[in-house]
Amino acid sequence: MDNSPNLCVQLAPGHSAGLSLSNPVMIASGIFGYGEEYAQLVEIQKLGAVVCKGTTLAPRRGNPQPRLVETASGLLNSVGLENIGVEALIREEAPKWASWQVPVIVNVAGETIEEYVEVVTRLEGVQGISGIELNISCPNVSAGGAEFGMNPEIAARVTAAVKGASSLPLMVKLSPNVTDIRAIALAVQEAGADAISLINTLKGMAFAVDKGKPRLGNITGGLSGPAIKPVALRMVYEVAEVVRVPVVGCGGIASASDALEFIMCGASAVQVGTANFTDPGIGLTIVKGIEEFMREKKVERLTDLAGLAH
Amino acid sequence: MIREKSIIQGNEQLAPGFWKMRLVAPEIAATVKPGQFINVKIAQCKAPLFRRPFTVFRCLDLDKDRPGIEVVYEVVGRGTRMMSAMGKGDELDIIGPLGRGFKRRDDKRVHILVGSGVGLPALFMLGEELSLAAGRGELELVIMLDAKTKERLILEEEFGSLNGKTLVSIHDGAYGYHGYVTEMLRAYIAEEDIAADCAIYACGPELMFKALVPICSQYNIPAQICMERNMGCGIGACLSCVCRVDKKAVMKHRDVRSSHVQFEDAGSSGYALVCCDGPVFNIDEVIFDE
Repeated sequence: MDNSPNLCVQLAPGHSAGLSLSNPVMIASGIFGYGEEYAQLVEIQKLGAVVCKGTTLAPRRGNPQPRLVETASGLLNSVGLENIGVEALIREEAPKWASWQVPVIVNVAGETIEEYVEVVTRLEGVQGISGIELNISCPNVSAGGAEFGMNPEIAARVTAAVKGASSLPLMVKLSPNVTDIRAIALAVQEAGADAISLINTLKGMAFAVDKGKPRLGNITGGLSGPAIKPVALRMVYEVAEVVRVPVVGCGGIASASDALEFIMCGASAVQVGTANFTDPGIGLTIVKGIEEFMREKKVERLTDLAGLAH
Repeated sequence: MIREKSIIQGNEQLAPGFWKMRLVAPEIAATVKPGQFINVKIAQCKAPLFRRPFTVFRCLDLDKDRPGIEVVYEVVGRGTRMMSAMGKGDELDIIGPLGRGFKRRDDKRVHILVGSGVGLPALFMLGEELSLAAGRGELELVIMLDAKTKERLILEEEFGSLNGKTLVSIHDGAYGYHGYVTEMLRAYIAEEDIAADCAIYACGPELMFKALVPICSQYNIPAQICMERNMGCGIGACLSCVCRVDKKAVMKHRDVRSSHVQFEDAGSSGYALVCCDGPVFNIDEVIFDE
């Protein structure tokens, strides 16, 4: 009998095609670009999934520099959704993904509901895409972005509109910059989300005392990295308690133990972001660490660990 | 691009605040080109969180014919302070070679290196290449070294050993030319009457690049500059280390399809990534006032 633990997860059980991952470790959006940049350093095909850079209808050149500040165990960024636009993604990036073993999920962003719908409409039938992650939580753009993720009604409206226009499994990424994340999670679930990922970055700021001005060109930015992990974990715990769709935990994960915390608090899978910049192999290290933990504790299926905290 | 576990062979202070680290890095040494950099993971823990990018100063054969590289760095913050405390035998996780380096202008006769402060090491590998060609009589090499004070002048001996003319500018006049390197450069070009047949390669603070712009446009001299930015990933994924670029100039100098430069549909400028469209740019590509 094969005694290797089963790390498979199904992130869209309510969807006809489903979104099946060989393991629960995904690379978060905005980290691996379109997947290729890290392919030279990492066996990306062994990851659970890769979420590509947030994609809008037209190309965006992004925010003024500086776009990045290192903070205490964290990263404050204001890239501002720089991306090549959906047409270039379909033309230049998706054809490469079609031959990949690792599922690629396209993160979709927009300034209006119409833009979100238009982007997912164009992604219909494109080979190489396994799912959509709806970005209603980018803190770094003036129009749209996080506004969609701050109000349950609006969050539900954009989710329903996209669900109606796309046949792909739909995961909605929530913003932590809200009063009650459970209300938003329930709203997007009712509107048809197949899964919910959280959290996006926390809105933050850094100031250069010697220059007398903010350190980011955009003044404010989104905080990620180990500094935000306790906040992310609390929110995953809260959301997993109230929703029935799979939850994907994200925020400061940098080790297998971090990932297991999220899984035991109710996450079906995790996304690793900032930690990749320091250690490009961290995703696979985490997969191995989870497997070792399961072997040691004689856990056969990852799903047996899910939500132990509840 | 390779990730190597590298052993430190030496780490010595060159001048107050400036250090030189020697690393065993056979695979990177075998492929690195002038102007390219490595991204170094300094801490085992989460502070500082990110890698730090350093241009490769030079490649050399270490004992037992093991190829190594050297980086010259200035201690400016927590990461570089930790680096300066490391010693022989310590291990570093490095990724490299990264970025797009200098491109020799073989159509020009006089090649001028213009470097200031901790920008100087980025020019040395190119200097070595040009020195070889100068030794064969194929070109003339002029090296301009700049520092705020004489104490902060580094690598004078190393650059002085190349087949070229070495000139030094010190801002307070304690040694060499009294003033900025760009003023010295302007005077040199006029005196030697070389404007029509020279190329400039520069690395230093952004203010120095800005002072180069009017000189290059007045005499129509091509210049390549090696830019510096804080970086997240160093390999073109996080889109953090941008510099604003002019669309027309970028279209003139490079194949935009194979670059990471992002324009919007309308608009005459966009953002290039310093880590992989650079760190070396043509001076007319970069828009400094942002």
